[in-house]
Amino acid sequence: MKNAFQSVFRNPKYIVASVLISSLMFFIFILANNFATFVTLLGLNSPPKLFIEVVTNGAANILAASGIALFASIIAVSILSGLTISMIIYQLRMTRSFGCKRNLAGFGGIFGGAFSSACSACSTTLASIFGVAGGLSIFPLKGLEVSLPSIGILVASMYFISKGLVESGRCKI
Amino acid sequence: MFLVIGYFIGGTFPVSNFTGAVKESNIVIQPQQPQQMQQTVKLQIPSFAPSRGSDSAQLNIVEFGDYQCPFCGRFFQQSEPQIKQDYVDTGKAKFYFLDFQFLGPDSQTLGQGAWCANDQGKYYDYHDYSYSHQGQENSGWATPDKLKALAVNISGFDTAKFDSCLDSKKYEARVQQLTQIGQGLGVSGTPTIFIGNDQKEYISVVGAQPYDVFKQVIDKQLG
Repeated sequence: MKNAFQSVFRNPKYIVASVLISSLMFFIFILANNFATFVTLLGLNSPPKLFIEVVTNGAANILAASGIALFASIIAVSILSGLTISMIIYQLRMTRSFGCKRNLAGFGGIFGGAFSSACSACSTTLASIFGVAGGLSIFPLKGLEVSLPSIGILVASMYFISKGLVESGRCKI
Repeated sequence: MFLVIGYFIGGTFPVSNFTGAVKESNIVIQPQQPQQMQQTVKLQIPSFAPSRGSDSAQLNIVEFGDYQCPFCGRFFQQSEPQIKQDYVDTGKAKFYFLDFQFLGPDSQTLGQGAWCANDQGKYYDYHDYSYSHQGQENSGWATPDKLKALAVNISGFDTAKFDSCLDSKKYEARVQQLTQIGQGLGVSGTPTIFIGNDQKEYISVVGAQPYDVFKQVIDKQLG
């Protein structure tokens, strides 16, 4: 895994891509969880700075109301998502193959990360989906129950991508 | 994919089991088919609901909240004071807090306590005090006994009257009714703030958003 990792990130392009994708993923996690507000602001032709304010405020809300552990886990999922997607891009370019269904697990981890990112409201939407009243707030760890497995899934996904790259014989090891 | 996630988590996807107009005593709610990007709803505020601000104010700001919700606490601390200062105290808008108590039994108790406080004309004193001294949700900070002990600190409060009202569960049905009304309006998280009036209908803002977001919506509705 270490060698495959080095092969991918030896190229600075993939480091830049990872940083950009990680930042984008964090932005998307916050955006996804404040979607209703974005829709309202779009309808009012609000200035772009207000959208940025909603994102920064959303991040501050997660930190203040849900705790540093959940906030750190969301950042971890964002970074791992950036690394995983960069590795998938590398794999696609090198092998012309998506790398079987195993890589889909990575997207499962990203989905979990988005799902566990608390929004700026105490949500009842899980109640609608799973019949759980109180949303993430009823979980003792306030959403870490979802984000921690997401981190595990993303790490596993990176392992399988690395293994696939090594097996494809394209890695210089 | 993320738009789909956003629809679910952001609460704009029509996942509630709302199917049409809801009639609850003197309350009529009629959701509008979305003809523009922001969904508007018709809302008749219950006549028993106390408000802050001038009766002649042209706009209503109606918050559906849970006294245990930390994001409602954030809204109370961050945006509500500025909204009060710029729009409520200047006579432009009236502020209402209505129950959407869903986070647990203590939320129900807190909601009932508010209406018991209202019997003494202290609805918003209680509201302010509860949010100023909010504990972690479902940690036991708002059991009936703890709430009675907290209420002692609200100035001018008749605690014996409050205790007796709380024990009687006199307002249990009202809290549940208001929560159901919120569900009927499509409230999927707290705080959800509806801004508008009977003529312009109401635009909702979900979450403890920055003051500028509320300002944008309020100014649009005032204009």
